[in-house]
Amino acid sequence: MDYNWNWGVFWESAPGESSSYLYWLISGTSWTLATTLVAFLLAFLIGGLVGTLRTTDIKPLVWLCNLYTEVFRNIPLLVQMFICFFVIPELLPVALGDYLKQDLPYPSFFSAVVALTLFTSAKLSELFKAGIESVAGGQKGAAQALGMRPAQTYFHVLLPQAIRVVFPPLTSEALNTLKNSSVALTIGLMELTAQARNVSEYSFNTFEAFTAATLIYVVISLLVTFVMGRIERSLVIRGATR
Amino acid sequence: MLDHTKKLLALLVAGCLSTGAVHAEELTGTLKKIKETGTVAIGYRDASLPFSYLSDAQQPIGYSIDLCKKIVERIKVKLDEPTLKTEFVSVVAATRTPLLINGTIDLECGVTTNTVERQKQINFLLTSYVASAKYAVKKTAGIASTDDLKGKAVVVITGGSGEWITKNLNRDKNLGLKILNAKDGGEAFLMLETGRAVAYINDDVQLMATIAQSRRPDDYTLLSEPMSAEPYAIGVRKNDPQFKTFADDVLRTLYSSGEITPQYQQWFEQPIPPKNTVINLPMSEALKEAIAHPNDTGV
Repeated sequence: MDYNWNWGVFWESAPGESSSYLYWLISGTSWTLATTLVAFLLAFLIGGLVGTLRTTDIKPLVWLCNLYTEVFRNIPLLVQMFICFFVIPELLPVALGDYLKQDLPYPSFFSAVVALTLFTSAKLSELFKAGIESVAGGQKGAAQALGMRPAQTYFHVLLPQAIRVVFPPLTSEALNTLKNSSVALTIGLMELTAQARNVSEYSFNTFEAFTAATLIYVVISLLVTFVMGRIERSLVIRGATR
Repeated sequence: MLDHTKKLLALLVAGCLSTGAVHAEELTGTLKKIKETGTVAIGYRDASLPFSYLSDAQQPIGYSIDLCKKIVERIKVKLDEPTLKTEFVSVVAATRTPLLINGTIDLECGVTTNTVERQKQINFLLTSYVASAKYAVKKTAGIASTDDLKGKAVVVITGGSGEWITKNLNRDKNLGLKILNAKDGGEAFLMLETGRAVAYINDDVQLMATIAQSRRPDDYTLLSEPMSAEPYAIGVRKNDPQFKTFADDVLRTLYSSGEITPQYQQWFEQPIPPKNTVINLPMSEALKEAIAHPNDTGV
């Protein structure tokens, strides 16, 4: 293969640009991190709430939350981002739609976070539901027999145990969120993958650009795994059977 | 045993004959590869009207594809391989170079601007089209020149030359533009259509093709200021002078014989599939110049 390897490309800059290609990748990394963090935290809260509600006895709520989960879990993320970015503003009242389209700062970041949050929260709700259901049924009964109200049952008995069950798969979901954030390039968010493509388009040093992006993703993933692992260990209750 | 010897002899004779047919010149690089594999691989774009796109029958067609087919015809003659197979490989902006370099495709027949930066990785054949970057706007937006874009949102295709043209314009004229990125022409146009951006920059020919295909072609117009000259060329592998010279000669013959003119008219002035739209773009002076004086100068 007659490829002109040039690892120094990152210190070069595009014609007419003052910032180097390396800066582009750094800027992309920050957008990736911002999108992932905001979306995952929001998804954790929403998914936790929706997942918990799905295990309650309030039928209309259960039904509604099931619908939420199925809708956002089963539509491809790419389609959701497209709808969020291109279609929703057209369906809203004109003034609001125009605000979203023209005045909102960082419109693609906003749409990306919303779509990624919805998608991830649906998956997390499934996780939380399964986690709560895995806590032995007798515990719920015991809590009620002790006179605990439903909220107390959840906060003092069910959720503290469920969170420990769902933590390992939660790490995978965090990593998935990181990787899914790259879909946002289709709506113009200049995150890491988009910037790698950009470097490749300008310099034609495709292999270097994507190798660098790959390494950055690996490093972030390892960091996430490490941090989540630490949290997971700190949650372990000595002597607990689980 | 005798059979075996006969076969060997036949093979030897055939070998001598075929080397005789392929002139004295020894094949190297791409031509050698094509001869050995019996296949020539063409990289095409799936939606770059009218240069390289898929027809209703899912066959790659277009101006660039036609030029490449001419080259393939001549390869068949040169290599004396009338049954040479043509394999079409779909490429996108990000994959066109790597696939060319690693040998998956032999000719990149899409829409690629010959730039000096890109020449570090691949070689370009003679310029086969000259576009110029322009801004498309809605007629109702009341924008007559780039000065009217002040403070407005402009959409560029990530990695396209429109991106740095717009950045430079923004800096030079201090326009305070909001520059939006889009992944490809389809999304960029959607941003213009839905009002996320008031202007969309791309090469004039691509804008006209997109507008001609859009729901309301009459709603859009191009600002007259040309922002750049973009020489389009077919990409080939670097360090393969034999193939480049050969393919350039094919194009040169097309240009000097005038055969290029009907070829051009077919794609730019007459109705083209799939919707029988007419792009209606007569040959520019810059292209006439490039045909009169063939060159492979990048920008």
